[in-house]
Amino acid sequence: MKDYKKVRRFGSLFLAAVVAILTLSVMVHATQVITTPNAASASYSLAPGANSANITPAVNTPVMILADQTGTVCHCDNVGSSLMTVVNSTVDVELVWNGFESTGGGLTHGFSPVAGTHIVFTDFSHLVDLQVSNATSFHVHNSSASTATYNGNVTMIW
Amino acid sequence: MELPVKNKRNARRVWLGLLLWTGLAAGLLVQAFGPHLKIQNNKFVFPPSLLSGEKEVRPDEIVARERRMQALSGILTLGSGLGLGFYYRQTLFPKATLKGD
Repeated sequence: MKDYKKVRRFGSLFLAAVVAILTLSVMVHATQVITTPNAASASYSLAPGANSANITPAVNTPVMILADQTGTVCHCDNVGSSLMTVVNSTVDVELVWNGFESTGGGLTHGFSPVAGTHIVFTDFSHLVDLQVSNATSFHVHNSSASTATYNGNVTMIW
Repeated sequence: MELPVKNKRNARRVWLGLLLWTGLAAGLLVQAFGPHLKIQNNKFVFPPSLLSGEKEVRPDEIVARERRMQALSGILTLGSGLGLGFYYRQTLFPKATLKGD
């Protein structure tokens, strides 16, 4: 009878410990997700002539975009980076942007809802750029004529 | 007359226990089956498949949904965990409860 009580007590303490550990791990993960700033990064891998999926920035909020090419697949010196802000304006019904082109390309600015409009280059050779997809979104486009696949990241902060 | 009141109390206690365990299970299920975005360098990292697909990507909505799911999971799990601790206080701390009584 005493042994049974001991086993029962050990079992309930073990179960309590399991519940406590599970609760703590869920809380740690939830806290980390909730406290992470509004910033997201997505990587692309584009064959020549290919477009990425359309990316829709937050509405009527300036979104900072840092795009960079890492060039790991083409194994060439084609690393570049660019910085700009874009507004997905429901008032103007178009994208409005300002920023810096990659590799000394100077300033870029504009506003357009027309698909294919150049926004900003992201690579060293000015072959990969962000383009307008429609009035609310943009995509990454690889206009290279070579056979190399270009890799990079688009980071958005809003 | 005392017996039905005691039974009613016991039934309520059993239901409360079931509710707490269900809440904990729901919180863990939301955590297990919710969208899991990787966090690196203090930012969310979307899987590469997201940009290579045809579907439109809305980063603000994806992040907001992830936050909602995590908040729901956290509230359910923490609330139920604390509730279970209180519910089984006599089993967990038998001496302390006796002293209190």
